[in-house]
Amino acid sequence: MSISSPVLQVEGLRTEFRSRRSHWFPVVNDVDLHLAAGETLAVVGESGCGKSMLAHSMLQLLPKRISRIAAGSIRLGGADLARLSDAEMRRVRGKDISMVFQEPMTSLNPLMKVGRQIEESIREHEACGAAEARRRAVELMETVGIPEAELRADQYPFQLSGGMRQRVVIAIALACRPRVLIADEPTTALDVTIQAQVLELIDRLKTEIGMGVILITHDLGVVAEWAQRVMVMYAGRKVEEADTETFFSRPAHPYSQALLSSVPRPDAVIDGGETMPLTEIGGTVPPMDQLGSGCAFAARCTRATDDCLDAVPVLAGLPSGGCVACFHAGAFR
Amino acid sequence: MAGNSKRPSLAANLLRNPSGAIGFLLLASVISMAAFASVLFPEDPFEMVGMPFEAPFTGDYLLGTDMLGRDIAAGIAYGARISLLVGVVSTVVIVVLGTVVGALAGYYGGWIDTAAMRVTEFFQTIPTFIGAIVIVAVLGPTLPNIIGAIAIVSWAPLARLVRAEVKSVKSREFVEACVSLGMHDLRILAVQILPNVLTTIVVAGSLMVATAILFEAGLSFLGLGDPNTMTWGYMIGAGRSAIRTAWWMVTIPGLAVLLTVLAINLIGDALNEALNPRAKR
Repeated sequence: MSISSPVLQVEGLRTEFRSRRSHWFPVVNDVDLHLAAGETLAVVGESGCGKSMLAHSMLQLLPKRISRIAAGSIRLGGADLARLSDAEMRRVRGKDISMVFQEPMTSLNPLMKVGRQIEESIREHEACGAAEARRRAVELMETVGIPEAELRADQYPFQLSGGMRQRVVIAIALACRPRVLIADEPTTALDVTIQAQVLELIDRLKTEIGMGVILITHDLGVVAEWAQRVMVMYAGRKVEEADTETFFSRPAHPYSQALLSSVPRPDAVIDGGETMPLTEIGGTVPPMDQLGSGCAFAARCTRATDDCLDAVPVLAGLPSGGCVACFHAGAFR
Repeated sequence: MAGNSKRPSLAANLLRNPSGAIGFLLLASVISMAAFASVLFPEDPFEMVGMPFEAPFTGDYLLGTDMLGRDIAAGIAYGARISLLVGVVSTVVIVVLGTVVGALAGYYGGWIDTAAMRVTEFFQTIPTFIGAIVIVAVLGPTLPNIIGAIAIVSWAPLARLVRAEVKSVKSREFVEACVSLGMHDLRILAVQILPNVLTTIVVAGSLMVATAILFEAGLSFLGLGDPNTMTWGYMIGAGRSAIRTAWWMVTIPGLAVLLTVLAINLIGDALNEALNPRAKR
């Protein structure tokens, strides 16, 4: 797989929400991100750490009344998405950048035949006749591995299984061959074998279309298998970025290390033939509107010192090519 | 899952339901009466054709005559036309108005929603029938005015119903998926959301036909009907003074109103059951 120049480049993105008392607080804070064609970038973190907020900001799907992009740029093929008008943004969505949602049960219109839903997506962006749209919809369904596509196109979502539905969702997202696909926990609602099939499908189409994939997940097994790079988010900030191999062998941030040691790993054996004990991360992600001045992870971090409470650590490059934001980074355990 | 097994059609579902079948039968007879009124009764229903005060089933006229010797059967048949016309047209106006206002308010929220809801509240505080009387009394008793008056006093509840349904459908993930595909707001509203709200609109609308017919009968009973048209309400109002000596002048048109409204309500209930199978079980 050839990894070329970035198709998507996010710099210093800061998205803010308005609290009840009308003061703005960040939910995505100073995030940099770049994505090359044919590459899969995994964004990981616990629930509430800003992964979905990041995805929704990039597509500007957040409600305008209570949110805003306060700083930064989102460059996609020469345009800065953060500066586009609503009408311009609408032309970009679905055409240049698409999204696959978590729940295939609810992300399809229950009253519309699945073929028609794919056609709607095609015809929204391209002037083509009904017959042409239909032909392409069936073709797309075949591409995503739906057997008897011609017949299935005339069925309603409730007549398809979860895996088939998610394939339809992917077909809709890929209808206009976007340059970037954001997959927001695309397999969480599916069982494990279907999960593998769907991820394999995304991986295959990624190469065929030559798009970049942002895979939002909290399943580190999925990350290890399908992503080339990993970005760890915590409380709206990027705290670590590394290539997948480095991330799993030498995670630098205490949060990354804690995430990894909270996943059962039968292969990780320490001396004496005993498997490593499974640990959990105490506490929860702090609410985004109640962040103090220091490192957001300090309260849950085993290595926290007074420094951590005073200032937010900045991202610093690592010899491995990644970067980490921690005063006490390094040394696995 | 067997994909191509065809579900029974809506009509078949409706007729299988006993109340739906009875409702359809009743409504079909009212409709055919209205359709063939001029064939069955070539004379004008206001025409004095026989002796006054002829009881039903006794003389030349099946349902008897009124105090001016007008054929009651003819009045019923021509009155069916007006009742159905008023019922259907005012319901169409109500549904269009209520759906547009409710859908926009529910979809856009914010100040559009606030403004629309204050307006509907204003209309809901007006006692509906008295409101209709005032409008018809001021504008004059013509058929368009009557239909307009019924629509104006009845659209607000439907708008609120549609708004609530649109709000709930809008929060479903597939709508966000459509936004993320770059679809236009109005297209999402019309193509994706409204079909999901349609069953509610159909059921509420079907019951609204019955209400509109009752309104029209009430207005013409009070003498606010179009004076050039024979209506059931007018017949009841005219026969009222002779109720002790000639019961049929009031009872027969009264039964016509009752059976038509009943038929439509039965169909509405059957529709509700057929379209929301979950509500029953």
